[in-house]
Amino acid sequence: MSGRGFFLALVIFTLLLIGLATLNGGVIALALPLVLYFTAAIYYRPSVPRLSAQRFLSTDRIFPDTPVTISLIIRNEGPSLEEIHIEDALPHGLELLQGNTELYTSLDSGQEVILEYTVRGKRGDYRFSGFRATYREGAGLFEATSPVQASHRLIVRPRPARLKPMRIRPPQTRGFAGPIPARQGGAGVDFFTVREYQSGDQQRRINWKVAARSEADLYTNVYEQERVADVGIILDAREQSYGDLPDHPLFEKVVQATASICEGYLNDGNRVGLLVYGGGIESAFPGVGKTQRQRILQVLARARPGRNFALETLRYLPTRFFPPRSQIILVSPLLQADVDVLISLRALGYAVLVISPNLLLFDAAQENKAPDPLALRLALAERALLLQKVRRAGVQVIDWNTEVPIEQISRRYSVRSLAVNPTVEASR
Amino acid sequence: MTTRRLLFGALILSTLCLAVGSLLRGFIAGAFVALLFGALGVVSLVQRWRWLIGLLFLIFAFYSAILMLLQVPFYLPVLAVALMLITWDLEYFQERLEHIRSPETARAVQRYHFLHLFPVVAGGVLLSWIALVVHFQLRFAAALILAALVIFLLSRLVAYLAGRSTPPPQGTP
Repeated sequence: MSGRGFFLALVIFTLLLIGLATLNGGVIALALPLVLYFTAAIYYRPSVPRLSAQRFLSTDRIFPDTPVTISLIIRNEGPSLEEIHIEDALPHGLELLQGNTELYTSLDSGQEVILEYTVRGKRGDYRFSGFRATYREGAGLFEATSPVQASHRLIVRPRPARLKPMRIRPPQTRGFAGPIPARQGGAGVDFFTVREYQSGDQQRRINWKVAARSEADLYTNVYEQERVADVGIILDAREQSYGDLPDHPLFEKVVQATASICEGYLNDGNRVGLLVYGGGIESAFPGVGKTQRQRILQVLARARPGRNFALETLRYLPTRFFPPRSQIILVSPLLQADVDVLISLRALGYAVLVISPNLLLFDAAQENKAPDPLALRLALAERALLLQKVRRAGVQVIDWNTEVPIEQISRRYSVRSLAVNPTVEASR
Repeated sequence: MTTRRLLFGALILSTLCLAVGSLLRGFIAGAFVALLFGALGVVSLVQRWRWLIGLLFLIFAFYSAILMLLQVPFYLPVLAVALMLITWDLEYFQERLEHIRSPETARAVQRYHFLHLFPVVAGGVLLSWIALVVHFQLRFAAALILAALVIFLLSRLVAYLAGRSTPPPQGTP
């Protein structure tokens, strides 16, 4: 029985009590229309509606703020329903743009009705489970509710920016031609070494200056081969890295940047893997091509900062996830305890590049968070010291002031000459 | 539109029944209070204060009982309660009706609702009238037989309702 039913029962009993207390039959007779109304409602008491439903989305993979039309086709599999209230549950985070998620209608047996509305949302993985159908008799005193399944999934992926990947030099590359220097002589663009002339060498590759110093021998220039490589990207999603805030706005920028970096390396033909390290470990195993791009964006769509006491430091990073002697790119604001882990990664033979968004400058730029200038200076000095320690371990570090777009940073660090010693440039 | 007109009409008529009943007993303050509550009801209908309509229903029923105790002609309080019941019902119904997008469906649902509501209320008023007008003497034995019959009929009704009780909800139809 609904709240209205209880209310009507209260009115009936009030009249009956007054009638009994005053021994007045007239007052009891006043309750008769209400009693009959209540009895009719009991007679027409509803049974659980039998409905089936299908949900359709105009598209199920979108970028943020793209409108999506959701259609719910509901069919009555049971007897005719005079008045039914259908209430679709909108996943938290989606914003209704057009239409309505509720519908009042009558449904004959076998009849179909369509509930249609348009939504948009921020980055995330949204799951539609089902809707609630409530059938009431006309007076609304009794109601029957049944949940109806109509599942679907909407993935709002981060929109990757087009950027030129930062120059990397992993110790080991793969067999196919690409843009990454392979530390091996062969066909390429950059000078690698000089060796004695062998028959078959192209004449234009002979190094005449070196040959002039020798009496008999000729010498040939050897260029560095360029190949594709394994690139493992780690996104730091630990809550403590973002000032212990579960919804720190910096995280969105970091996810966006990670998506752009992944996209850049994938477009160059590299094998890219992604690991999100935070409340749990989510990953996209290394792969190439458009399918891998979808997988990575899907993992990034789900990424949320989280706290897990077992994963408070990077010590439990599953390094076997990345091929040996490959390139690792860590996107993290960095914590003091991470230095040792980065050093051990270098010791294991990985080339490590850290892109560290500057949380201090980001927070200082927020209007309501302006810190004391001296405190900011001290914190920045401490951070500079931390980054210096990491650099000394042979890790490339990019201190990213998030006011500068990642495309600009990437352009700056994609310069070929920096590949020789990017650590020096990055530290400027 | 019909529902809205009926809604306001029922509330005003109910208020008038109470006011006239009060005036017939020379209870001018009572009539004034009834009119005041009626005006408040109209405002709450316009402003969609649903909780206030519920409260007014309770107040009107209580005031009708007082009028009945004051020996006012019985049809006035009975009509006041019946009309207020219609107001309370239609106010809730109107809100649901506004959510129906198709005008044809809305008309069909409205017709169906009226066909259920008005006969039930009319039947209730008729029952009250019979109860208040028809007087007859019963012997104890006849009353006992009638009571047994009522108990039997009630138990049959309960069994019937239990038979068409709702099955447990299913996850996926």
